[in-house]
Amino acid sequence: MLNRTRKVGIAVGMALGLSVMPAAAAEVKIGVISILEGAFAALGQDGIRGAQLAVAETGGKVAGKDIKVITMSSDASPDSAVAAARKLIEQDGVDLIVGPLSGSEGLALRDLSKSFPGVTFLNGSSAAQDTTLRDSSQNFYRFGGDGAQWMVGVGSHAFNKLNYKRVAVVAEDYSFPYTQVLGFMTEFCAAGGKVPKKFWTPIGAKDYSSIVYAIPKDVDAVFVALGGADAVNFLTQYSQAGGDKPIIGGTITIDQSILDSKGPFKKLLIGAPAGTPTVGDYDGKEWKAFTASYKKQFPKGFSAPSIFAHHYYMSAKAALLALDEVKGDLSGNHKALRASLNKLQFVTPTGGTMRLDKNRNGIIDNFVTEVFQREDGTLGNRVLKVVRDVDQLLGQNETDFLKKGPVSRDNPSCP
Amino acid sequence: MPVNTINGEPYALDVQGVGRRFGEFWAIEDVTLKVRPGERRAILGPNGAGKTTLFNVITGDFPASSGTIRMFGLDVTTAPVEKRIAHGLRRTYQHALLFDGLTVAETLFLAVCGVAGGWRKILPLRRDDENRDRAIELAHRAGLGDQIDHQVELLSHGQRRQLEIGLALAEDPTLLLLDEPAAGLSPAERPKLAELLRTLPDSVAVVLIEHDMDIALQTSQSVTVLHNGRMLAEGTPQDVMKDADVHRVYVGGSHGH
Amino acid sequence: MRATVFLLPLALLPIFANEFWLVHIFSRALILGIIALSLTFLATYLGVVSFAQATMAGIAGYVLAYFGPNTVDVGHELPFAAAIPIALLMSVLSGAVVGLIARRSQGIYAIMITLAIAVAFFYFTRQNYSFFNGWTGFSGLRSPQIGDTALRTPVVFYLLCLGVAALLLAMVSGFVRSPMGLTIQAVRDARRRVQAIGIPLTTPIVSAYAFAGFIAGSGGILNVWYQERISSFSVGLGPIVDILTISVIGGLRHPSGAFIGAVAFVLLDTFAIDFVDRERFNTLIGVTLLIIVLLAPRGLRGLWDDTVARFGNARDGGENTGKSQQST
Repeated sequence: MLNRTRKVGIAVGMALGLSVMPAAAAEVKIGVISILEGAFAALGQDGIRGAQLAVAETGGKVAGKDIKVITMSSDASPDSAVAAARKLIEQDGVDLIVGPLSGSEGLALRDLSKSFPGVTFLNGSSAAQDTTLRDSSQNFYRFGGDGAQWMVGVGSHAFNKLNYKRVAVVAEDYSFPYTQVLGFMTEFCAAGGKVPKKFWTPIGAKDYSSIVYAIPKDVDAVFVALGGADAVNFLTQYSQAGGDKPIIGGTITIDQSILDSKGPFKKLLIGAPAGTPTVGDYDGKEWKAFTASYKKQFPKGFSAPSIFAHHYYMSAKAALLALDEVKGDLSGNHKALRASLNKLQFVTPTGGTMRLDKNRNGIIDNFVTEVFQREDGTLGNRVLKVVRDVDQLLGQNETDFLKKGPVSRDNPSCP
Repeated sequence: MPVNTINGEPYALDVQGVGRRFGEFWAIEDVTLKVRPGERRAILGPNGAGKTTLFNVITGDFPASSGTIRMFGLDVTTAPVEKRIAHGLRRTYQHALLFDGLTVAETLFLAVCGVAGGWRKILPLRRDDENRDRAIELAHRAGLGDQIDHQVELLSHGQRRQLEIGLALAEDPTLLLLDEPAAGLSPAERPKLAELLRTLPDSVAVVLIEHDMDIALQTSQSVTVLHNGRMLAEGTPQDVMKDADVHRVYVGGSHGH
Repeated sequence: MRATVFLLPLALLPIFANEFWLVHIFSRALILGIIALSLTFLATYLGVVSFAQATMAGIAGYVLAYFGPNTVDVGHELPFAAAIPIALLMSVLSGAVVGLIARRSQGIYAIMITLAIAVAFFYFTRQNYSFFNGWTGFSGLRSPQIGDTALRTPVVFYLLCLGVAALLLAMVSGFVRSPMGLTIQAVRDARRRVQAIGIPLTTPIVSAYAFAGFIAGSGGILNVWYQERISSFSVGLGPIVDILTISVIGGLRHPSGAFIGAVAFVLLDTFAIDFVDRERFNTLIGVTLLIIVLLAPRGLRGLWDDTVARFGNARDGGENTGKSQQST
């Protein structure tokens, strides 16, 4: 209602040839977009918790204004994320948007943000590379990394420590897995490794037999960048077919639910490395404090914050820190707020210092993890290595990095 | 050699050894039927004798499983229905098969267009369309002059039968197949139908399926009797009446009405 | 003219409605209504329920994305004066092809075959990169400019959608009174009889599907200007079911039902989330649609007819009871 009144006010003002300043609003509205329907609903809900946790930690107020959180659901499709954002902006009149969850949704909101300079967008957990690297948008921020940053450390670990020289890739066919493969291959190929064959599968594929039998015999390991049920289906069919190559996991491939599931593929996973920015049982002191705060706020939540809670939390926290610094000043298309966001620094739940590069993409901490067998026979992930200050260029020279072209099914390549 | 002509003229309808199989069951088998131009022929037979199947095979609703069909010398055995219509064939259905969502005038208009062309036009129908005038004339001939703009769905049973006849009369047919046109008509409606049939031009060959032997024999010059899908007898009404086989099948069997 | 009674207040809507309502409720409803109209047209006049209407709309959208301005480095930019006719032509062709494939199918078989075509197309767009850019699809699609005004400007866009919808409704009502339109309805009522009056079935059936492709394609073009993007999701099961839902709740017996259904659908889709807790809003949408289908089996348009008939009866002392029942 407020927004509508304001719009009418502006319209009347313009009609009269006057310039009227909108009255200072007594609240800040934050829209949160996550996937609250379908297979991702439980994880998407955890993203919402992350944003709510950041708000709760400020007591629901920033710079003397009430914070109002309005959530919207998307369904992993770019179209639905755009529709959700439009509703939040044009109907609910939000000032900031936190979200979305998945890769192609992020690209879509990045494009949309260019049409709404009066709204500040803070990415949730979507991790496609080009969301910030190419065609970046002045009002789209990512206080987190892309899928390539999340693989940093894994490629060199596989080549140097595990002695893998040739690796096949099995990944889903869209922007996030492309970016993950790029992150892995950048290090692995630079170290001298080869990726002779990449298999791209549609999301939700049930039958992987054609891939299982086509994986070259002479590879040392298989890098699997599949999520959820796709990973379970592939690993089951691969081990049933007698596949015995060690596995390297993407960020969302080897989560605890896969480790807890029964299946002959579990023996393939022991010792499997993976890259991730979020480790549930990491024992850093900031993480423990973050987990405690999360569990207190959401007794019915997960046993530890997921990658989604972690990333939505960081974005919402960044927004609130900056809002506090500029005393809630959102005038002139959020000019002051954005200046503040651009140079904002804060300690993340993983103990590093979050700050942005010039494309407004986060410089992050990343973990290399490994699957290990506990004494009781169950499997878990343990941290092998923390890599601090990972930037989107993966430590390379910007011109060279951009010259390699946009990530795709065929880029990068080192057969 | 089968005779394909009569006095040098081709037959209006020349059905030669035609059969139609559904799975393993032959609904009609080895039927031969020759109808001269202008002839009035009745097809008789008890229920399930294959009369309507024979019509469906002649019109092409079902293709023939064996044999050949010629119309006016042209072999139409494998021709699609619409090609046979273009060659002068028309039919009525035993259970009126009509366009319930259209009006009487629209229905007859399409019947005219089906032969004369013009149904492909995509601009709204003009009031002065020539085919439309002919459709209205046809409605009057079929006794539906007062029901031109009535929706077909709302017509009485008798009116639906009249419309069936109207459809069959569109654009000067030369060979008419009438499948029990009098079925279900009230005693008051029957004379109207008989009158309509009587006023058909002499050049039109008519093949009539009629369950009622008395009516069939009165209106026809010749009769073919089918039984269990095969020909039982053929000849003038008088000859057929005397045929012992016909007597056994017809009088001995159940009488349809 | 009866049409102006409806059109005039709708054309004056921009005076009262704000931009959100104008674009995201009314324009969106008009666009979805146009695509649903193509289904309602087939259902009403050919008697066939097609699941491929979102696909035909999507084909026009994809063609326009491919030949229009976009930000994804796929396609060849042509002037709109060329791209729009090509887009419409392709959607008409796609309709004709679907019609050709489904020409012998009716009832559940037509549903199955059109659904199979739609799903095959969906997977094709998702896996093809040279024309459809896979999962991500096209973004940054812009509407044409006329002078300094982009067609996507809220008031202009709304009036454009309204104009196209009105034009298409007028075209439908003209087409169904043409000889071809009558033939299509004859095919609906008695296929064998159509052949028995000398008309082959393929031409009217393919023409009906092609015309439905034209309607859907017009909606598809407006839809890419509205969304400013298109991807495999735009032709997936979601939109396919949405279009069917709109047609069914609007009522499949009259073309205008598509628009009534679309308004109901868009209002629910947009505001259901404001009424119940966020995890349950899809259930609310489902339940509401179920109630509409149960209470108004002939859709909202049928409900409207019944109501009008009832009031009419009260006024005329019940004289036209028979007629109003017969005609619905």
